[in-house]
Amino acid sequence: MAKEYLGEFEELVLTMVAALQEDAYGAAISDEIETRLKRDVNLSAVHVTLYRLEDKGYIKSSMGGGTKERGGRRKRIYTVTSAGMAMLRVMKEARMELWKMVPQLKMSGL
Amino acid sequence: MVFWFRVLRFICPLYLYEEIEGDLIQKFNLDVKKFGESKAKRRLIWNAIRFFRPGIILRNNFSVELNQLYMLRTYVVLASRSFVRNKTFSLINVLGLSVSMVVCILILQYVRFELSYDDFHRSAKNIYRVATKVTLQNEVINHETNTYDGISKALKEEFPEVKAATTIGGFSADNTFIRYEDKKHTFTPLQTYKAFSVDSTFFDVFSFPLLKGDPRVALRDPYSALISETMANQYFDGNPLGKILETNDGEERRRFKITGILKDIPANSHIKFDLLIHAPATDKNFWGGTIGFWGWGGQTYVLLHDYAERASLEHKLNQLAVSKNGLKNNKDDYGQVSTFELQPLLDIHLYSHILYELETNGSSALVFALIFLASIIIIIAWVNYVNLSTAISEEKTKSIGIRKVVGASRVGLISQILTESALFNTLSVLIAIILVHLLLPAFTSFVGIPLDYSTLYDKWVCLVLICFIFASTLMSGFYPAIVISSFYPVRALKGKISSGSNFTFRRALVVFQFAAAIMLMITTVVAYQQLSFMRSTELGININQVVIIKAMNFDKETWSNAAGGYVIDSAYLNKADLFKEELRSNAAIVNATSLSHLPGEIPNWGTEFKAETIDPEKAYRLLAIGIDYDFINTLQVKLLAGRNFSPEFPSDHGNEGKRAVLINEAASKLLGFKNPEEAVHSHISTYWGADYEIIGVLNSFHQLSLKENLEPLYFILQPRALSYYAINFKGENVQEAIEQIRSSWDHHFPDYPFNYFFLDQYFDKQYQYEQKFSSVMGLFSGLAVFIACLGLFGLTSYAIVQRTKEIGIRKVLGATVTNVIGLFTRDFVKLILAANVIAVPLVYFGVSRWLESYAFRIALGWWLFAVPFVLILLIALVTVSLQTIKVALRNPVESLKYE
Repeated sequence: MAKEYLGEFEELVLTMVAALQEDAYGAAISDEIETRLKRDVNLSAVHVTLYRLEDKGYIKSSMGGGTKERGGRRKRIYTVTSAGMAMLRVMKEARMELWKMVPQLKMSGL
Repeated sequence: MVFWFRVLRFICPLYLYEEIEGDLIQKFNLDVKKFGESKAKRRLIWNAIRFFRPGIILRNNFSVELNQLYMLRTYVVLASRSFVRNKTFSLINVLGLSVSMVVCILILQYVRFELSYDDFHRSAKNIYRVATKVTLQNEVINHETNTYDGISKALKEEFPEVKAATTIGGFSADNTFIRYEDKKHTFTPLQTYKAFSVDSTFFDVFSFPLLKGDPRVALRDPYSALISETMANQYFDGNPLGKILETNDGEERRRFKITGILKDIPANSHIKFDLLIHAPATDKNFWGGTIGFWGWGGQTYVLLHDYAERASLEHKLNQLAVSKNGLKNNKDDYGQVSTFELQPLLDIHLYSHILYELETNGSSALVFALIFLASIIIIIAWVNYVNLSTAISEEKTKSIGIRKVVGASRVGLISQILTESALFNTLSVLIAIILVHLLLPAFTSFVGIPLDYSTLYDKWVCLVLICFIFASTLMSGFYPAIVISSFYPVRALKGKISSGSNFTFRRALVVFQFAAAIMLMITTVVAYQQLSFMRSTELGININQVVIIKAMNFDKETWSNAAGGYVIDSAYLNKADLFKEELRSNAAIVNATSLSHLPGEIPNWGTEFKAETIDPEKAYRLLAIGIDYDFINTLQVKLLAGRNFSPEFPSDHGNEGKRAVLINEAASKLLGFKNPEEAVHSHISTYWGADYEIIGVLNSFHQLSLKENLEPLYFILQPRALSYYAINFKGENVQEAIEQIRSSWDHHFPDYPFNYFFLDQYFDKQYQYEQKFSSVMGLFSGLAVFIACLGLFGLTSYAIVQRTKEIGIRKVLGATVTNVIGLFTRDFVKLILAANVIAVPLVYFGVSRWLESYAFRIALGWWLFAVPFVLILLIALVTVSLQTIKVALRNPVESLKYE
C-alpha cells in the first residue's frame, strides 16, 4: 500500500464500484457519475483509475458477458476487496469526524 | 472511424483492449440516441483519443522479441543460399556495391587530404596571411599574397591583438645562386632548391617540426640557416650542422651557417621549402634606397590572439594605409587605394587564387564536385541493389508465402531481408577494402597526394565505415523488405505476383542511373574538348621546340641616380651576347633570346600608365616583360605597327625616366588607341613622371593559359634581370641540340649550373588542374556507365526470366529472333531516351556555368551532347542484346516446358 489515502476521483470510483456491485464496469460507472453528480467524466479517466485501484489492491476484476450494445465485446466487472471495503469505512469515518466539526453541517441522528 | 480503433488497438495493452472497445461502443450507441449520429461519432473519436495517456500506454509490455536474435543464424544461412542460387545477380550486386565503395573511399582520401592543409601548425586557427588588394580608379588592378613593408612592420609593432608576425620571401635557383661547402672544402652550387628568407619570428607563428635544433632559438641569430632532412642527406651525408651556405643574388654574396635540420615539409603545407635562412633586416632595400612604407615585401603571416577580431584589424590596416598615403610618402600614384585582407591560413589552399601563390593551390570547386560525384556513384549502386533485389524477390514469393503461412511475422521477414542486405554490404565493404589497398598507390600518385596507409585505419575512418554499412543496409534493403513482406501469402503460393507499380518504380530507377551516367559522360566530353581546345589554339607566340635555360645574371648591377637607372655590367652583357652568337652559329639552333618572364607565368613587373593624348585622366595598369632585340624573331611574335627595338637606335635603351617601349595590341586597345598605327610614336607616362614612347605594337599573344584574358603588356629593352634564355631549336635530335647548348653554356658560364626545361611543357603546367579534372571525370563516367549497365544487365535477365513463356509462345506463333530482340530493346531504348531528356538540360546548365570561368572557351555544339548519348545507347543495346539473343535462339519447346 503506497499511500494511506486516496485521491478524490479514486475515492469516487471506488465508492461507485462498491455501490454498483454486479454492474461495476467502466461505462456504467462513468454514466452513474454523470447522472447522479451531474459532472462530466471522461471514460478513459475512469478506466485508468480502475486500473490503478486494482494495482493498489482495493478492487479486483473478472471478465463478464458481452451484449449487443457493446458489439459483442465483453465487459470487465470490478468488485471491491476487503481491503477496499476497509478503506471505504476508514474514509467514511474520517469524513464524518471532520464534517461534525462544521456547525452548519450538523446532521441529525448520526 | 475504424482507423481510430486500429490505432487504439496498437496503443492499448492487449488484455485491456476488449473492454475499452466495448465501453466505447456502448457509449456511442447511447449517444446516438441522445445526440444523433454525427455528434455521437465525434464524441466517440474524442473519447478514443483521450485514451492516449500514460496510464494506458505504459501498461503495455515493451519486451524485445528475443526471437529475432535467435533467428539470426537462420537468416544468415538463408542469405547465403540465396546468394549461391542467384550467382549472377549476386555477383553483379556485390561488384556494383564494392566498386562504388572503392570509389567513395578513394575520393574521401583525396578530399581529406585537401581539407587537411596546414592543420599541423599548433595555432593554425589563429594564423592569417595579409593579402593586398590594389584598386585604381575603381578597378581592381592587383590582388596579391604579399604586402607592403610598412604594413609588416606595423603588424609587428603596433597592434596588441597580433601575438606574432613574420615575413617570408621566397627565392629559388631561378634568381639566387647558392653554393655550399662540400667535403673538399670547395664551394659547389646547389642545382635546384626552394628557399625562404625569414625573420626571427618565423617559428613564433609556424610550427614546422625540427629534426635537430630547437625552433625557439635555431633561427634567432642572423645568418643562420635550416636545411631539410632530404637535402641534408643529399649534400652533407646527414651532417650539415655548422656548414656554410653562400648565397649570391647578384647584389651581394652572403654566408649562412646551418644551425638545424628541418623535418621534410609535409605534403599538406601550402608553402614548401628545402631551406630557411635568416637574413638580417636591413634598412636598405633592393636597389639601395631606404625602405619606406610602400615597398613591396614578401608574404606576411600573423598569429592573432584568441580575442582578436579579423575584421577590425583589417579595418585598422586599411586606415593606416590611407593615412600614409595622405602623407604622400612618394606615392602620388594616380589615386591607387590599397586594402588588406586577412586570409585564414586553413582556407588558403582551397580558396585563395590570387597573384603569387606560393604553390599551386587546390580548388574547392573540385573538392566539392568530387564529393558530389562520389555520392552519385554510391546512389547509383544502391539503386542497382534495390532494383535487383526486388527483381529477385519475385522469384522468392513462393518461399515467402510458405513462411508466412507457417507463421513468420512481418518483422521477421523484414529482418530476414535486412540481414541479407547487411551481409551483402559487409561483403562488398570487405572486397572494397581489399581493392582500396591494391589501388591506393596508383590513385595517390595519380592525384598527387602522399601515399599513407595509416589514414585508412584511424578511428574516424572506421567509424564512418561502420555507419556507412549501417546506412547502406537500410537504404538498399529497406524498400525490398517492405515490398516483399507485404505479399499476401495465398496469392504468392498460387503463382506470380504481378509487378504493377513495382515495375514503374524500377524503371524510374534505371532512368535515374542512366541520366547520371549521361551527365557524367557529357561533362567529360566537354572537359576534354575544352582542354584540347586550350592546348591546340594558336597562342600568338611560338612555344614549341624552345628550350629555356635559367640565367644567372646579377653580377654587379648598380642603381645609379646619375645615370638615371641601371648601370649594366657590360662584362656580363658581353658574355650573354657572345653566348647567344655562339648558339646561333649552331646548325641545330634557329635563334636565341633573353627575356624576363616566360609565357606561362604572370609578370610581376608592371606599373600604371596614362595615355595623355587619349585621356589625361584615365590610368591603366600594364604588366611588363623585359626583352632583347631577338625576342620577336625567336618566339615568332608579329609586329603589327611601328618597329622592333634595334641597336641602330641607342635611345631604345633608355632608363627609368625615359625610354622606348613596345606594347601589345591588348594594351593598345586598353589605352584607347583606335588601331595599332595610332599608338606608334604616342607617349605614355607613369605617376613618377617617366615618359615612355611607343615605338611599335606587337600582336597580343596568350601570356597565360586560355583560361585568362589577354594581358595588356608592355616590353622594355632591359638586359637587367633577364632571367631566362629562350632558345629555339630545330630538327629531330633534341638531345644533341641540348648537348651542344650545354657545351656553349659551360664555355661561357662555367660556374653556373645548367638548368634547362622546355617551354611547351612549362606552359602546359597551367593546365594541370584541367588535365586532372578531365581524367577524373573520364574515370567517373566510365564507372557510372559500368554500374548503370550492370543494373541494366540485371534487369534484363530478370525480365527475360519473367517472360520466358511469352517468348516461347511468340516464337511458336511465328516471331523471328529479331522481333524478339526488338521487343526487349525497344523498352530499354525508351528508358534511355527518357534519361537523356532529363540529363541534357541539367548538364547544359552546369557545364555552361563552368565554362564561363574560362576566358576562351569552346562553343557547346549539339554533337557534344549527341555523342555521349549515342555511345551510352550503344553500350546499353549491347548489354541487353547479349542476353536476349541467347533466349531468342532457344527452342520454344524448352521455354514452354518451364512451369
